[in-house]
Amino acid sequence: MTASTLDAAVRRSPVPNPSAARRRKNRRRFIGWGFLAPFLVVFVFALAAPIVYAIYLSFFQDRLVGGNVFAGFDNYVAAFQDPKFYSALGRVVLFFFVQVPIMLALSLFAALALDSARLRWPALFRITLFLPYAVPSVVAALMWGFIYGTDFGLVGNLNSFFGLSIPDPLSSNLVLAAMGNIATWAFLGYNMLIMYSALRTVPKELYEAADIDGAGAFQVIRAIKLPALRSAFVVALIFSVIGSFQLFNEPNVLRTLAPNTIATNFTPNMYAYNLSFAGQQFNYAAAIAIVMGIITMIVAYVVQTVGVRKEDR
Amino acid sequence: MFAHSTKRRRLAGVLLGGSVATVLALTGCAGPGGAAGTPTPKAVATQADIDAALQEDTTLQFWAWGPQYQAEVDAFMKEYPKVKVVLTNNGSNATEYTKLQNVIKAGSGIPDIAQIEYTALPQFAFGDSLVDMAEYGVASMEDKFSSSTWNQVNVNGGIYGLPQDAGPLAMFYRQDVFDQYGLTVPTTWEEYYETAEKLHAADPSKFMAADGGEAAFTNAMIWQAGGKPYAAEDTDVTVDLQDEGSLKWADMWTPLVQEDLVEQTPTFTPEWTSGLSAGKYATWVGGAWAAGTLQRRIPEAAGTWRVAPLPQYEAGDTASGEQGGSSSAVLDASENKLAAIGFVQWMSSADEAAKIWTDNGGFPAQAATLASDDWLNAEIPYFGGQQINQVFAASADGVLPGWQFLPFQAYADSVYSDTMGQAYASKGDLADGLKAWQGNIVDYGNSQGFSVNK
Repeated sequence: MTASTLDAAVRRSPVPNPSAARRRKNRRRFIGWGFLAPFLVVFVFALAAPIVYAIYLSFFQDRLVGGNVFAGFDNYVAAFQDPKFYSALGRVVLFFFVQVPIMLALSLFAALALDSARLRWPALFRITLFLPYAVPSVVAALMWGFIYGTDFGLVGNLNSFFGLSIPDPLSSNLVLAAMGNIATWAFLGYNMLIMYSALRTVPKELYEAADIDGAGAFQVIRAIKLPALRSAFVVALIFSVIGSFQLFNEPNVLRTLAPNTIATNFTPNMYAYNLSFAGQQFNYAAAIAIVMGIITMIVAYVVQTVGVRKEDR
Repeated sequence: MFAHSTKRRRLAGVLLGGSVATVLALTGCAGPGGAAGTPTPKAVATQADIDAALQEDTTLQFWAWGPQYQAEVDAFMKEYPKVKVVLTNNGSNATEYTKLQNVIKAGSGIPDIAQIEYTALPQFAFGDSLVDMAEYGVASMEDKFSSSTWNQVNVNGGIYGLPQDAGPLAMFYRQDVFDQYGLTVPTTWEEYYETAEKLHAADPSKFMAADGGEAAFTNAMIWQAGGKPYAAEDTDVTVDLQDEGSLKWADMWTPLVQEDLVEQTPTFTPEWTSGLSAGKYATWVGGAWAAGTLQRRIPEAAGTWRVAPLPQYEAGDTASGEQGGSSSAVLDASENKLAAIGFVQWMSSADEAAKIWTDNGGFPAQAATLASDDWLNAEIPYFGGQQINQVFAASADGVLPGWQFLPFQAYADSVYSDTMGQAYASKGDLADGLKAWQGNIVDYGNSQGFSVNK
């Protein structure tokens, strides 16, 4: 809008002097920057600067003895040879491949159910599933930590009341599943909402046409709803990739309850956090964080390209 | 810089003529830790300078988390109205140390005084973050404190804090549980194991103790077993978690873990508190401060707990170790070092301060209090009127000398769960866990520029 009014102003100007025109052109360029400035300032200080600073940090080594020295790519070389980093990475990949399909399948089911208009109180249903997303994730992890307690928590109460012996959800075999459960609980409603809003954009004519053609409910889902959902599904999937790879709050909060089963390098983010705060290894932590960021970007990019390509087909 | 020098001039102006030069020399060559490690510390200020500084308008920032400190600060300000002490709770131990490390690194917002446990003192002393109080003549206070606490504020020949409390080990036990199952109080670790077996066989839902595997507890137990796994002189560090004492403890404790005679519940979690309250754990081996913890955390269990001396490896021994205990240290960045030292001296050694400390459930580090009849003979209603301080005082006497912590103990403790924790979780041999822990510590130390085990 601004550009077009400016253009109009220039066109109306009767002076054909080339130098004046260039001056005006220059001014035009700066006016554009002026409009961009508020965003640019926030972008540079809040987004670009921290990343640049982390990259800068990752090229140094600050030791307790000997102080701060330039280390080149040493931190990165160390990161790629660090078995602790690989075990953390492997754990979030496993988490991604198990938790995300379950969560997205449930979200899809909930979105389709909501869209089917067969529910009695759709608004109540929607708000109930979405509510956990409004709970801060630290609070959610704390709450589930209490539920998981085998002695004083809900699990403990169930065990003693019904004489059951539910295994400890925080034992080493189950702890990752316990966290997956928390994440599913928290993000199911959120993903459901993304998919549901995509379903609402489907033109009514399509359903009418399907009705006329005599398509059943499942045929409508397969031929109309699922294709319409695809791009929303890809968005939800990308968010889930990022969420899984950045898993932090749940293990960090539950660690006080189960320090032996949740190691300091349980996830890459936790590893970076513990390196910088317990070991004062800011530089190495910065390198780990950057490597992890790049890996996440690559995975998210792959998911996006694959998803979009399918859509084009 | 300008503000700095005017402050110095003002400070200098109030001091007695003779000491002006020395004070200026002190603030001028604030090169941290200048005298650290030297055998004869050069005095930079006298007690008179410190006393004079306490009559000046000063504000001191003090970081501590113990429940007794507010009362101490209030009483101090009543006695020295010109000095204002602002107490801030920045979280318990590791949380506070992280914040402290951050402000030291940032160079601003550094408090004048901080509560620092003996475990973390070498780390901050090594980083030249603390004032070596030996330069201010505090060495003469040695006989005011128990020898084990005094030994722990001594780092590399300097005195980096004054002892505030201590944690000599004792065995807390549930009299009601012992009575119910006809158990006798064990005096050796062998008896401890047998008692544990008996109890768990009689009621599988009961355990001899809760131990989820914790660095502080492991260190204390190795200390009692005569181990000296850590040694540091400047940057030369030795870590030997396979020494005789360490293995002695590991061999004794492993069966308790493997046979589920101790339950793996981390301390200070809700699970643990409810277990302590319900009598699920028959004993708790911990520092003397645990007496205060029990009274505060589970007041409903009053009358059920008693205190016994720590079980021994050889019948008749009195060996003990320490778990926890804090010193009060003055930060090197403080601009009010003299007043800060004066405050720390008062809080750690004045009679009134000692009384406030023990009245509020703190365990004393002062030799005079440890030997006073009032304190020794106090009958504590919570413990069925038992004179528990006698047990603690005997334990303090039995603390084995020569223990040292690493100059990076906080990190070592933070990776304990990654290594020893695995041994606990898999119910393996704790000696193997110690070995893995040592490997982690050695790697970190060397990567930080120390020469560890070289």
